[in-house]
Amino acid sequence: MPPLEAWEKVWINLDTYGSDFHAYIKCTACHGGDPDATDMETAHQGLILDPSSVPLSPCKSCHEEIFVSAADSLHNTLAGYDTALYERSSPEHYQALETMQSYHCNSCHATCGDCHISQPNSVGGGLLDGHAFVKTPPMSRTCTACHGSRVKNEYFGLNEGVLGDVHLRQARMACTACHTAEEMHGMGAASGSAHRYDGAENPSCESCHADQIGPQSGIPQHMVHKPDTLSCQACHSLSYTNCTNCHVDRTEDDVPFYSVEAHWVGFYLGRNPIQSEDRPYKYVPVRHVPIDINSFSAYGENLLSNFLTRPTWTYATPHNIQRITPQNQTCGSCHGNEAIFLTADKVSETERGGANLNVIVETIPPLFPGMPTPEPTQPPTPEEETGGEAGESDADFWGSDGAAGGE
Amino acid sequence: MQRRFRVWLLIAVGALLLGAAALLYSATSPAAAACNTAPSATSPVRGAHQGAPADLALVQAAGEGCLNCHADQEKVKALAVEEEPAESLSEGPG
Ligand code: HEC
Ligand code: HEC
Ligand code: HEC
Ligand code: HEC
Ligand code: HEC
Ligand code: HEC
Ligand code: HEC
Ligand code: HEC
Repeated sequence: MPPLEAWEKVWINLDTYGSDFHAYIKCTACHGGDPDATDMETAHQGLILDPSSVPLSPCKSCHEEIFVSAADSLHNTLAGYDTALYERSSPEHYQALETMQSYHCNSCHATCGDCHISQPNSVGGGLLDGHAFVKTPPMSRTCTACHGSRVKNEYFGLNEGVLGDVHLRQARMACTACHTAEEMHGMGAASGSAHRYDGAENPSCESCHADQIGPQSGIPQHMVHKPDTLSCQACHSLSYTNCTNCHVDRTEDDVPFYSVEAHWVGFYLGRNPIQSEDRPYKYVPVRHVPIDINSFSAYGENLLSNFLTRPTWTYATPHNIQRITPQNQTCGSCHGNEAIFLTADKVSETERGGANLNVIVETIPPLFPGMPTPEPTQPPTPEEETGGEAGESDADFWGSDGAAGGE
Repeated sequence: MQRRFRVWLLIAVGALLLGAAALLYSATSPAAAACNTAPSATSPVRGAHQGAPADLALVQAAGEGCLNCHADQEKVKALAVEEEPAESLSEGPG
């Protein structure tokens, strides 16, 4: 994403904004400031930089339904972080954790403006399209500006040697093809959620592929397994980023920063830590999340006093789906292949307890006699199979990210 | 629901139009002086005005003094300053 010039970030393009309904609303009705001023400084006094982030946001009066549910969505509440932190801690430490979050999580939450009007602050802000209210958030300038390391790297194929998602390469789908307005606004199934994997899968792979799965699919691996044995990603996703030992701290000048000691790309099938009627799978890909018992030690002692109440290896849905993957090439690429299962030896000794015990795999599915196993010669990689066309450039779709194809 | 919204919208738009008209007729609006320069003949504001639908006048009015600067490339180029590049102390994927 080429950085915007300082002037481009604030230039209102009347060719686009001029025909936008919102242009009939006075600037000051949303932004405050002094309309009678004759110089920039006075004009900007009392300015509200992001009117959509204030509690009395002007958006509410016209978009009430969206506004009310969005206020309760994970993008606004960041409840997912609280869930993940507080469960690993205990009440006497909540205050210290709040303080930590006020430094490190303040600018993460997404306002209406961050998806529809200007780029998120994390990439320096700047109007998306001359202040036009853009209906479909452009992927590279909104979604992956925030979901920049993990999801973006997977989806665009930026992890070295790991192909990008088939939905991007083959079908040119943007995030919003699967993540709908309803989900993003916290409506319907997504309403009032305390964590991203609460409730039913949203979106679900089945919603688009119903006729290609199950016993009638004609695909042996689909037909032989019960629907609650493996998640789709267990067979269809490639390696993903895992992190350990993330530390957050502040400099002497109060600038918050974090560092991740180690991260690596790997693929591990573990036992499903959140097995439920909605997510009945016995085995799913699991990811080591960037947390460590001392992650927040700069803010207090032993803040994660119940560190292993939640697993450090968590349910994952990597965004690098392929038809053929190393683990689904043949039955024997998975059955009897200990390397891809999260066995105890792959979990660090200090974390080999608590909730991780529900994730660690004790016995891997056996290689039944007669099961096909991988050819000794290297089978074709997904890349050779599908080619990796980048497609013609289309700045609107990619949001000016020319390298979006990831090749 | 649908119907209520439409009626509401009509009222809202009506009110906006009235407000805008009021502004338009106050030729001496101090807002026009914001930025201390009258829009020049070549400013993109004017240019867009000529080719675009008539209601751009209302847009201009709702833009108050702000558009004199914000819709003028030359002026925002002169006034906008790059923020200090954010200190990037963080490392590794977040
Ligand atoms: C005075 C009423 C009003 C206010 C206030 C208002 N909107 Fe709208 N908004 C509308 C109407 C009416 C439409 C539909 C316009 C159309 O279909 O062309 C709309 C459409 C939109 C769209 C879709 C754009 C498109 O091209 O379809 C977005 C996004 C949006 N508004 C966001 C916001 C945000 C964010 C705020 C607050 C900063 C806001 N609106 C404030 C009335 C309003
Ligand atoms: C300003 C930063 C920001 C922007 C822009 C943003 N996100 Fe997010 N998103 C977040 C954060 C932070 C969370 C985590 C919230 C939590 O878990 O508590 C999140 C959570 C999510 C989730 C899981 C929770 C849920 O509501 O389903 C999805 C899916 C998601 N984002 C997709 C998107 C897509 C698609 C876009 C672009 C249309 C987008 N995000 C734009 C910051 C952002
Ligand atoms: C995380 C990103 C995200 C956030 C935050 C967000 N939206 Fe949206 N919004 C979307 C997506 C995605 C769509 C669907 C675009 C499409 O269908 O092409 C959408 C569509 C819309 C539309 C078009 C009508 C519709 O329902 O399809 C309106 C209006 C709108 N949003 C208003 C808002 C308002 C107001 C807020 C803040 C209260 C907001 N949005 C916050 C992502 C977001
Ligand atoms: C309906 C409410 C609304 C109206 C009317 C409105 N804005 Fe905005 N404006 C917003 C929102 C919301 C944002 C996005 C802020 C964000 O996401 O950080 C924004 C962003 C901006 C930005 C970019 C800020 C940045 O750094 O990204 C500028 C400049 C701006 N508006 C100026 C104006 C001017 C000038 C007018 C009048 C012509 C105007 N706005 C009218 C709601 C409005
Ligand atoms: C082909 C459909 C599809 C596309 C395209 C897609 N996603 Fe997802 N996404 C999913 C599914 C499925 C889930 C898991 C939902 C569940 O289990 O409830 C998910 C979950 C997520 C989550 C929450 C889990 C996590 O890993 O943090 C985020 C954030 C997210 N997606 C962001 C994005 C972004 C950003 C893009 C675009 C770069 C994108 N997605 C494109 C299908 C998709
Ligand atoms: C919004 C609809 C949608 C969702 C949700 C979705 N897909 Fe897809 N998927 C598609 C489309 C469209 C294609 C491209 C079809 C083609 O190229 O023939 C595709 C292609 C694929 C392919 C490649 C098929 C081939 O012929 O090579 C696989 C495998 C796949 N999807 C699996 C998944 C999995 C697993 C999920 C859940 C994580 C998922 N899809 C979610 C729409 C979707
Ligand atoms: C046990 C492993 C396994 C699981 C679990 C699995 N798949 Fe597959 N799937 C495969 C294999 C292997 C193929 C490729 C068959 C071939 O091309 O020979 C495939 C093919 C596909 C295709 C392409 C179909 C076509 O007609 O070309 C789609 C789409 C797909 N799977 C979606 C899904 C979805 C959605 C789920 C979850 C409900 C799922 N798969 C679960 C192994 C699996
Ligand atoms: C990506 C991994 C993977 C692949 C590929 C795979 N399996 Fe499985 N399979 C499993 C797992 C995990 C189980 C569940 C074992 C357990 O219950 O502990 C399983 C279970 C089974 C079962 C018992 C039924 C069930 O759903 O529990 C049969 C039969 C089976 N596999 C046959 C096959 C055959 C035949 C193939 C090749 C056509 C194949 N599997 C490919 C992972 C895989």
